[in-house]
Amino acid sequence: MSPVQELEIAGLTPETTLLIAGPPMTGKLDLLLGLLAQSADRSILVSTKYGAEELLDRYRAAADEPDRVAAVIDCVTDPETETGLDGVADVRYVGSARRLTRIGVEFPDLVGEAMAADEPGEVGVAFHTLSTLIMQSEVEPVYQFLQVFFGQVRSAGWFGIAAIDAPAGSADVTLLQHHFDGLVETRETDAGDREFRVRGLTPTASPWRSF
Amino acid sequence: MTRADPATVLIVEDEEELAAEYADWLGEYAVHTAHTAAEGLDRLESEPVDVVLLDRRLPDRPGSELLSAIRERGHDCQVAMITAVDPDFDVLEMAIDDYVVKPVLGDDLRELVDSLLQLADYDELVQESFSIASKLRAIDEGDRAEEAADHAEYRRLRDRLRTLRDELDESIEGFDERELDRIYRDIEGRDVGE
Repeated sequence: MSPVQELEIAGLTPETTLLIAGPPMTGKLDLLLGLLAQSADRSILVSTKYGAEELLDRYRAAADEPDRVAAVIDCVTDPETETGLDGVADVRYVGSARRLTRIGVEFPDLVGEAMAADEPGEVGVAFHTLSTLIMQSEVEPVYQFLQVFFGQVRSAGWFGIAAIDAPAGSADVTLLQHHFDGLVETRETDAGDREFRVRGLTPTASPWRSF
Repeated sequence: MTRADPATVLIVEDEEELAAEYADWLGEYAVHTAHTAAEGLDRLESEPVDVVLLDRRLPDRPGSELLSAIRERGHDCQVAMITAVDPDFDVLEMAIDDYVVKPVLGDDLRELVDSLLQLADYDELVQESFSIASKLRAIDEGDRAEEAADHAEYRRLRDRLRTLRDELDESIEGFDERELDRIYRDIEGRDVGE
């Protein structure tokens, strides 16, 4: 059973917002991209850790479609040195994850383009990773930013997903999880397997599953 | 802070006839007028004001200096600059909530004040949301986390947080791009992180 099927059983809908939380190297990005690729026909990705080119490659591999439509707000690549992905994807270079206004300004623009598409299908929005935001900004503005950002996602009736490099129960996760309908926890077992479980979509947490 | 009903608007405009016309247009609010920066500041010191409509050119000192004084003294109000001066890049540095170039019509002015009040409401709810989430976090990451679900005040705050999220989402649907831009700028403006 795929993670999406597992999540559907746990109450996932096309309008759900999810936070993936777990220690580093427990597969959060793979899970995020896989869920996004399977839940949405058209995606908007905000990247604070990898450049647009690398993230798009990984997203399209996760979707198993080399031409999957996606737009990226790239907060990593220096706008002065980017070589350009024109014609390959709609990429907006913001330059830094601290530039919350620029992220916020670019986002509705991409939303407008997605809505104006002939056949937009299901739209999904992913934010990878919130950890960079918290490292570079105070926690209160980050909290407020996410309220507005994912408020826009929910208002549009879209699937939204974000990842954070911190385990469930940590200070940052307990604070920020209120912006999301459900929490997806990841972990690595002693045998090296990666597992996830879902909380918040149903009254009890789902069992741990490999992915 | 709970706002008085009707909301209070302070017009700081040196042209007395124009100030009176603005006041007339904004008759649904409690309106005060001032014709110099000093008068405006006195009014702000004497009672709470929700929205200040500020002329950029005043006889005793520039409107930008009055704006700085308002912010430095911590007056919790929305400020829009209404002026005949075309905006230059310096407005990007100003702690204003909006900038409108004269001439302004009655409908535009009412719309401006309505929009500023909506944004103030939104901001207040977001801050309440953060305050509640911070309290819940203190419990969630502590030793008593497992008992939290049985605690009445914890449940009340958690429910309030959900209600706030719904109310804030509803507000978002009503904002245009310019208002969203303003919200994001306000948030970034509060950030003093590394």
